[in-house]
Amino acid sequence: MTALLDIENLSKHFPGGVRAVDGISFHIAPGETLALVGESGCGKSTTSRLALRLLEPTTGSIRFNGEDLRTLSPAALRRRRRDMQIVFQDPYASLNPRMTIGEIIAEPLRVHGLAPTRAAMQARVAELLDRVGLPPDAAARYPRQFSGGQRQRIGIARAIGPNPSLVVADEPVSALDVSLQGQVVNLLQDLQEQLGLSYLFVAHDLAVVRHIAHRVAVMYLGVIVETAPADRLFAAPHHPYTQALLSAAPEPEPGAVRNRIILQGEIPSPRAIPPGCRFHTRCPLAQDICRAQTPPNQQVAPGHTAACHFAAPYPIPTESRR
Amino acid sequence: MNNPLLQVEGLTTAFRAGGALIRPVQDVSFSVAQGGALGIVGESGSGKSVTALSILRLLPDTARIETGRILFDGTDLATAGMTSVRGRDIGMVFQEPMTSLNPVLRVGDQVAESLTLHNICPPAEARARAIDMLRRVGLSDPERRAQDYPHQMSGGMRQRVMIAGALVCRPRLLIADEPTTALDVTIQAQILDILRRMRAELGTAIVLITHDLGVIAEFVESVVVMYAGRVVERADVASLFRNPGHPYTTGLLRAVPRLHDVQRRLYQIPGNVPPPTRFPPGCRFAPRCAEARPICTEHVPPEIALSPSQSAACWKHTGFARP
Amino acid sequence: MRHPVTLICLAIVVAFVAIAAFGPLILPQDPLAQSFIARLKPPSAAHWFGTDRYGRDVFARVLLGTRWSLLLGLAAPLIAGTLGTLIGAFAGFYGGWFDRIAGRVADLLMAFPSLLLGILLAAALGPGFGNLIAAVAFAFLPRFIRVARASTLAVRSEPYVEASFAAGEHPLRIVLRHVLPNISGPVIVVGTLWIATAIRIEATLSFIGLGVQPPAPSWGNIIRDGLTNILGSPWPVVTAGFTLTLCVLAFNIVGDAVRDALDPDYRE
Repeated sequence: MTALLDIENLSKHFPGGVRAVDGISFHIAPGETLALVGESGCGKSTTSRLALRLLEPTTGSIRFNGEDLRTLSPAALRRRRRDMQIVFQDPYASLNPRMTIGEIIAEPLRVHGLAPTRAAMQARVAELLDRVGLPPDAAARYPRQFSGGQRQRIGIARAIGPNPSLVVADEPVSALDVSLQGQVVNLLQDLQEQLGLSYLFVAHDLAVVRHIAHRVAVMYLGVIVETAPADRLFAAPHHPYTQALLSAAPEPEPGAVRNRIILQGEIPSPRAIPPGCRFHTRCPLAQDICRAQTPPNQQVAPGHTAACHFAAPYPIPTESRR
Repeated sequence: MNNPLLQVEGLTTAFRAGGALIRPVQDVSFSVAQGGALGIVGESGSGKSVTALSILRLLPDTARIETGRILFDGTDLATAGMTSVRGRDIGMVFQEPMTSLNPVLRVGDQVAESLTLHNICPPAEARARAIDMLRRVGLSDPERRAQDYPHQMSGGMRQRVMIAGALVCRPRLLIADEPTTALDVTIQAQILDILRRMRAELGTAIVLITHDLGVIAEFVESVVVMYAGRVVERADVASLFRNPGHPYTTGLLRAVPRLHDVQRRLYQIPGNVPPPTRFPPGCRFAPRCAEARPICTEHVPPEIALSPSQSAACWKHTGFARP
Repeated sequence: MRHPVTLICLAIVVAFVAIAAFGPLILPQDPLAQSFIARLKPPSAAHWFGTDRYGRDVFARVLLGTRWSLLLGLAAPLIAGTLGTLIGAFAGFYGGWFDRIAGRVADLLMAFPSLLLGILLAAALGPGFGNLIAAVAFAFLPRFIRVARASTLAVRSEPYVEASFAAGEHPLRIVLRHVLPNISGPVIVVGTLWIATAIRIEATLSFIGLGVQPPAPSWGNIIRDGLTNILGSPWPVVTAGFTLTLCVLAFNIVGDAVRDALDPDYRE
């Protein structure tokens, strides 16, 4: 199976010595969901923009369907965008307040000439609204007349309109109430099944990721520290940062006995990245070697890599509850 | 000592919004024991933050408390001088530590401020106590850090400063409104740990307002669940999670994504949270409730006691009949 | 927008615009007709605002002067607004050398008060109403460039603009479809607020002889003309001055109301 998206040694440095993304590689297969997980400032949102070349990378290659996006001319890149779309975190700011829902959803269709007549456009917009569970009369209304959850559906309708093969979803549910997150996550899953979409799903909430991702890549300070199939990552995380992240998430189980790792200190600034392993300043396992040498990405199982000198499984004690 | 520390009775807060009067909080009652920890859980628009602001009398000019009493240690806060209570007997921590701190004051001075404001101790001692409190909330090198301005700190450190400021007078009650929502999960764990430790050290009672059921499960003893401005359920934390009495609580618990849940699909509550301008009549959750009967959309359900420590405002507990 | 003072001011603005449009048709008297016997008369039933030192009816002159004041008051911000918005939007959207040059020039021009700049340009271009409009419009240009550029920078970083890029939209069309409509609010607000200033500048320039040339009347030259005989009869100065003040005040208050009303978040 060839990858739909294949990213090699990608980095993005901003002026002032900020290494927001610092040499990462990953791939996404057709129909697959890869979740990019990490805390604020880890570079996951920047990565999602680089993957679509909405931001210009400093180094690295982005192969989409075997073609390096970085070699494309601006016009060719714009044509290519039909196949790769994005859903944003903020359901309020991502819709132009002065355009109707119909105009918003129609934009990518019009750009790529996918609905040549007015009637065809209206029919397609109505079909897309129906797909995301909104009534057809929504097309004539304005974004402010909709709630956050409904707006996120509108953003999804816009993204799937041109029948893309890849959708980047940048924290699509983190601005929504818990009772609405399920609606959006399930909708994304349904659409994946119906349309064969691939997702790059950016999130900070591991529990949400658990439900949607096939594979998970954990980012810390601009690098990927661990990649694994979702089931494996949650059952046997190998990197101490992944382990801490999993154990820090509070779970709605009163009285659960847990072996919590509380990390000390703050996340360092991407302006001043620690030498050696970037995580050593907060790592409970750090040794001298971690301060001196950058750990290589080692394969700990098929499809499971961890960048740690002491990578070892750390089963989260799910069975010891109550 | 059996008196509750904080008692809220029948609180209704009204806002004027574009000519109309909206009530984001309606008929809310609860109490917090001395040294206890109460969680108020709800989604956006549930009225949980307005409840906190009503207790602290920090409402904007367009709002007023229509009915209800708020007793702190037996005294009505409407008659007690609020400014002498706020900051001294009741500390508060908000979601956004950047906007709650004064950007042009050094953090040490901000923490010491409430001590000097309430004439608890002379300025020199206040400084020492502020630095001591900064150390207790886990700031390394607090003497030097006290000289910093808020913008020089990370979000997690600012929230520690907020907590130090809220606790420096050793208040008997701390009201924390979404104290960890803006923070990353590893930093959230640190902050909750600090709150837990400080509570044990100082015996401070806590009202923790959050949308996060995980935080509730780990931190508090009793819970009030709010939906669209009303209390729909109150219970001790174990009963609430094991045996929720209101369909909204049940739905919320099922909707929370869990780390160790292998099932792919998430439970979803249909519909949307209504805005305060369009609260439905009867039970406000009825339009989204799978169990709703005609009575639910007509009459507001009373709170039915399910056990000495649990009650829910749902008609199903009366067999959908009016008592 | 529903405040009574605002409504009164809106009515005044509408009245001024109507007078400017139809004034010549409803003139009570010939504004140029001199009369030796009716010089420097106080207000009366025949001459509502009195007469000037040539015996001309001041009311008719003020009425006709409205036309010049409003024409300049509207034309200068409109021209400056259109040009400035385009320059500012493209500078803010594309950045680069164009942005740097436009920004520097705007900063340089901002260092001069618009009145002074207007006087300098009007003097350099010579008398004439077209030159006057050009001078005032140019004096206003940097303010519109600034507002448009700053608003564009804000809109440029909105996710809906990023969404449009992601959809594959051409940058030029992004400016047209997303940027211009969303910066129109602040630009229109600035525009309405500068109408009053333009009217004031026109009056000032006419007052010092660089604007509307006598015998054609404008509020500025009526006041100047009245000043020569202010001790004999203050009425031309008082009435034209009051009209000017009323007009500027009404436009300012309506401008503020427009600003409050144009924020898309406050509209339903």
